[in-house]
Amino acid sequence: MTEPNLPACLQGDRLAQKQLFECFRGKMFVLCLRYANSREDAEDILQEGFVKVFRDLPQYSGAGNFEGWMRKVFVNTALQYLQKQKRIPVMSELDGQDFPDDAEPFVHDEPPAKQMIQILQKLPTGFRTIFNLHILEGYSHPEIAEILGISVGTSKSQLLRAKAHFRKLLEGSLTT
Amino acid sequence: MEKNIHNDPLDDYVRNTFDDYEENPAADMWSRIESDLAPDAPAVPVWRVFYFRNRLRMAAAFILLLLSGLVCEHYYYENKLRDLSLKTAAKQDVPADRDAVFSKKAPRKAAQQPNETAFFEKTKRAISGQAARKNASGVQRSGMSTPVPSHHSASPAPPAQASYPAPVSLPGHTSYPTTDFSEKTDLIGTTTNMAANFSPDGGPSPAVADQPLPALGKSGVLDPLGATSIAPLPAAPLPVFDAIFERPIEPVREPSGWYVGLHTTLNRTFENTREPARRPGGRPVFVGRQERPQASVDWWLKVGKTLNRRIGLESGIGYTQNTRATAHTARFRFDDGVIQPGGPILGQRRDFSYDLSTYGGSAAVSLRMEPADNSAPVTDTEPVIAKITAIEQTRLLRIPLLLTGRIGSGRMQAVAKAGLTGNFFLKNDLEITAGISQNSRLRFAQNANNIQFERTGNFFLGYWVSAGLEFRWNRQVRLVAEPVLSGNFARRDAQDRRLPDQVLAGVNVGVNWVF
Repeated sequence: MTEPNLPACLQGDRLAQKQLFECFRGKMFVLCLRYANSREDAEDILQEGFVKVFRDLPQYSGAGNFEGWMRKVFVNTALQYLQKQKRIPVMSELDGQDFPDDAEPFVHDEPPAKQMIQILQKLPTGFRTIFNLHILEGYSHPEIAEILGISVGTSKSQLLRAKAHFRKLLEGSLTT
Repeated sequence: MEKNIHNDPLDDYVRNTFDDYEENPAADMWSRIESDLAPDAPAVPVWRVFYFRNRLRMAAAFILLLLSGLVCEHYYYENKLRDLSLKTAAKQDVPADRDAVFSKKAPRKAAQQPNETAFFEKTKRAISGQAARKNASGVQRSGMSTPVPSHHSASPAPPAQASYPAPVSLPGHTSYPTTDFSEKTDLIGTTTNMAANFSPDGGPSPAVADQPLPALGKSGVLDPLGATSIAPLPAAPLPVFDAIFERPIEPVREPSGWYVGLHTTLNRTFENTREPARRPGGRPVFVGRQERPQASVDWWLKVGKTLNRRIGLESGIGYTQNTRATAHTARFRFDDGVIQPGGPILGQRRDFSYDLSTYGGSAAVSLRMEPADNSAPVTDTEPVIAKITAIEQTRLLRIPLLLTGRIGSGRMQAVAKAGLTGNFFLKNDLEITAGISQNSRLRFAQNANNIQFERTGNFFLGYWVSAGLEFRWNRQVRLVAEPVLSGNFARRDAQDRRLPDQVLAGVNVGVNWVF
């Protein structure tokens, strides 16, 4: 994989931008799939994310990992996309609800990550968001609380429920 | 960002599963991104295209109607004047064929024929008497179709011929042909010539009576033998009427009172801005002010009608294009902002929203600010001060309706005009061009400024007051120069807030064509 030429991207060089896209499209698409409800939504997020990356590239100071900066952009894009679609409900609404555990069995010739994405997409959007932010992006509960506009306590409790639900779905998939 | 401190095997399992896992999106993803990155063509709302086209059509139709009206009126008066002229000529006993001499277009009227008949009868008698005298003196004379030099002519009479050969009878030509005066239409020129050589009482002019009669040339029928030796006379000059008849006085053509003009107005634009009060619970309002008085040019096609010597009306159509650079300073406290995800410090990227009031309407503006130093968060009490400059482009179609007054006589007159102008926005755009944070601890998040421009109504009323001079160059052309004060009446935006007013001071110069 060739390294992206950031200065050329900054100057709007299409070739360099395409190179950057080729370089990160796979990883970023997986990130989008984890947040989205469907593949189509994930593609929309990916498209918006890359456009933002190219437009906000001057904001990248060079300090820190470029991929880390890109991931932040994509996470923000995904959250805004879900908010726009009104798919992040008020967290308290999730309390006390039972969610179906209609786990589908793993197909053994598919990579486990793909199967895990399918499980994630079965989670309610709120659970999935907190699960992603905490476990896969590494955000703390106060940070999640600020980003999503909820209390720290809600963030913690929702994460526990999300994990329990995820575990249930995962176990169901593995056993069937 | 802190690391997850819980040591749940599920977390590790999930993280490891996704580690280095990649999946490819749709094949056309890059082309979709590329199309989003392409610079957007300025989108023109459909309603505006429709509006603009309609306005153009209306303007074109108005001008066309106006011009056709003017042409019709012009020809109506032309015909009326011609009739009047003919009637005047008839009253003064002038042969109506005089018009036919000068203008082939003038129709002959049956009412004028008795006068003409009497005139020709007189002429016939006079010529017959002259011919008889000449025949008695043994001189052969020519037919009446031969032009006779005017007695007004300064040139001496042609040399007298010693004698003319006797008439020869030829087959079909046994006698001299005589002029049939009843066929006046063929003899208009001749008759007129003859008329020029006879005194009003019908008798021959003494000067003509003494002149020897010239011979006809080869083309004549009277002198077939002597034609080789006698050159035909040159064509006589055009008839001179004034010898006998007073030229009828043409009625003076009174101007119709209509005029069209091409004018231009050079203006300096001044603004009258007021800071609208912030309403309870509403967003703060800032006013975009132009940084200095700016110049603008109006182009006018004007049409006017003088109702009498003093008073008149003037209208027309005008076009103005104006580009204004405005500036305003937005002031907030940092905790007024709405927290946005992202930014160098979590929770410190914030949006500050307000309403911007400008000449063309009001705009909802949102500025996204964040700490300038990634390691130095700002407090909630930090002042947010941003100087924003914007460009406002307007194109106006203007229709004035003015009452005009004229004082003075002679070529120079004082003119004063006052009235209303109807103004239509053909284009009304606002664009933020730059933003500078006055607080060095804060900066703009790049490409994040947002503006939603809510235009005012497309029509508004204005006023026009001018006073100047009008110089009459000739009967039709008049030059105008007048200082002008114009502006708009109070306008309000959708939230019923007063918008900035404009006052234009300038000079209007132009040319009027009077019909």
